[in-house]
Amino acid sequence: MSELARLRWRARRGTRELDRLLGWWLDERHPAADEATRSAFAALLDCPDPDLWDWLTGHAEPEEPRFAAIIDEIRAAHRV
Amino acid sequence: MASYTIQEHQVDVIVVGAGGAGLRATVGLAATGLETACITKVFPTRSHTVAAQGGISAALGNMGEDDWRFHFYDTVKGSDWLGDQDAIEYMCKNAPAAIIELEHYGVPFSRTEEGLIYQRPFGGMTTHFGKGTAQRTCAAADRTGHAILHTLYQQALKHDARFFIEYFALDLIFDADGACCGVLALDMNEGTLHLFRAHGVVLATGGYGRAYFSATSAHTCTGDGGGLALRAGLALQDMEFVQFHPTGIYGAGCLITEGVRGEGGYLTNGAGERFMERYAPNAKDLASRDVVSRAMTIEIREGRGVGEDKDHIFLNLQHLGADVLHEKLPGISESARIFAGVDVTRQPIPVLPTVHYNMGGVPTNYHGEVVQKVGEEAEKVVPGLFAIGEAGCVSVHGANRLGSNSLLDLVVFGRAVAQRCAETIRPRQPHRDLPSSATDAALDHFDRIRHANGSLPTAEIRLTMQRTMQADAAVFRTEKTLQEGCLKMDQVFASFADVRVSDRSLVWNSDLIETLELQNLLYNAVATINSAEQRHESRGAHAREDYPERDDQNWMKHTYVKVDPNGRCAFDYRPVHMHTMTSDVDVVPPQKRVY
Repeated sequence: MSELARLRWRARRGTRELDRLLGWWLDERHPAADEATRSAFAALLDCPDPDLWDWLTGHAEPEEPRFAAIIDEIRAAHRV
Repeated sequence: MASYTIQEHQVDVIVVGAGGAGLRATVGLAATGLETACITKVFPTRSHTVAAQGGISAALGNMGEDDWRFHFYDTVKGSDWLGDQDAIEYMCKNAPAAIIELEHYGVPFSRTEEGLIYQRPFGGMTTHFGKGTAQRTCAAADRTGHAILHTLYQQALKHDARFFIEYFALDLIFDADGACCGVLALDMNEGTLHLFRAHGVVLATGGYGRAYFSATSAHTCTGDGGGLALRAGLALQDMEFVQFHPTGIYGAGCLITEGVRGEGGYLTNGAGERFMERYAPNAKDLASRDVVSRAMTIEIREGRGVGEDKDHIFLNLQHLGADVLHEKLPGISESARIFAGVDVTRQPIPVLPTVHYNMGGVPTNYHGEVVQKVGEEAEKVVPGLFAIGEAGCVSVHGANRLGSNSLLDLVVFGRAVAQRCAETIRPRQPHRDLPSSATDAALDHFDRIRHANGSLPTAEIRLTMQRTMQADAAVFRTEKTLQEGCLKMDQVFASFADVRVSDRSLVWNSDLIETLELQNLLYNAVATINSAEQRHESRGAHAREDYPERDDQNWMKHTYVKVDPNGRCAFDYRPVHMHTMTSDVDVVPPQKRVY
């Protein structure tokens, strides 16, 4: 419970756009995600907001391969 | 009496909030040798300042003629003559030095070919008192806000400022003489309570956009500083002035930049009509934010909205072509697709005027010291308490803020607070004894909310508040709608007594934190709608259908509002400063605000 609450707090970002996209993954995909993906998400939340936005809008790709699957899931669900 | 173990920390100055204002203050304080702690509920580089991409204004004159006096004039005019002219002089005059400091700290500003800081034009920024167009806005590509946060955070660490990250401020603590001498905070990670004793407490907590249903703000913008101040019995200032951005995406609130209308985007109503032609025959869709927002609101209220509920407006970019969209408006196609599910080359974007910025806040002088009206003294300093940035009201933005003046406000007054504290506080000066009862009220307050066992979930009260504020305290304001709204907000405020917090733990209890945030939002919301009801004129962002003109005779004054624990508001006023700080610039006398 507290781990999820901690992630939910850290999914609070500096912009409304990122709040919605990362909050979506946490609500929709985190419950069924495996441990490796969950820890990748926790690490993703440590990245700077402008980088996250560039990745989510397809203007850049994350260097960390483990982020790619999460980014792709968010993009696919939002038809980016 | 609730029993909690409190860990005490003694520092010279405590800063609450780590956005642009809080970090700039922290850097300045730590650099002067004051022992400085910064507590922040979110990691510093995730503050909402990151969303400020447009830039920061200063009359550097790098792109052609400019003068801080032109900037001063623009800001006074933009404020619709509610801004204090001494504070505006202070901000515009100190802007170049504040920018050069940021550059020296390491903010990677975009450059001209000659290596100077590049500056772009921005709405409302002129030369020669409205005659020419100024290029005054400095940017670090499209990451200005983030670059400033990142740079200031590194500088603060370099100067040994101490950060307490993911700490939530619960209440301000005052001594027997009424001086602010600390903050009680919850470490969300450990679930422990901390009393930060300090000779100066700086509120830098940002705005309260989340009091409304449709806001461009991040979730974190919950007006915590305003809540802290109001609960301490202090008055806030000019809370009726809320800036709306015309084109927030319907439902999502995400911003579509004004630049799209500059490139030829236009608005249509339910009949497919380009209605801005009726409201602003010359400027049309390029009229100022407040004019466009009002026109959209009237169309919707008169039944000419679009969509199933006819409750929004369309923004059309289909005719611009994919190339223009891609080259000149990067990011717009993506935002529209993600948050509205719309392909902008083929479909219009559903939009709605959306809360963007709070001009009101904790009243201060231009040193950032919090002031209150006491007896006949209109601006008596509250010892030990400071407020800066969107949380404060200095007041440089008056009734309406100009684009690229918000980042400037953050750094100039963050810097001013540091300078003031360096003059008034000696490093490691001893703290006066504080009786343990000084924290009783704060602990009781916290314990009550923690164990709240009513019937209403936090999210439900929050939604009712947001819908009420959106319906009755948004762009369209009349006596009738505002009075209805005030009554409804009274009920929403009262319903907080019946809130339920389902989780009693102290570690990562997001339900508890969101409930504390909701309480802060409720105080700000009640202050806002009641302030709007009592101001019988239209000025800047506050547009009354029943009082369409500005009334300098009766209303060229700042509103002070207090909110008691039952949500009842009490009002007082103070004159606008129609004087400057020095003889370097002349007062701009009131004129009609026409662009």
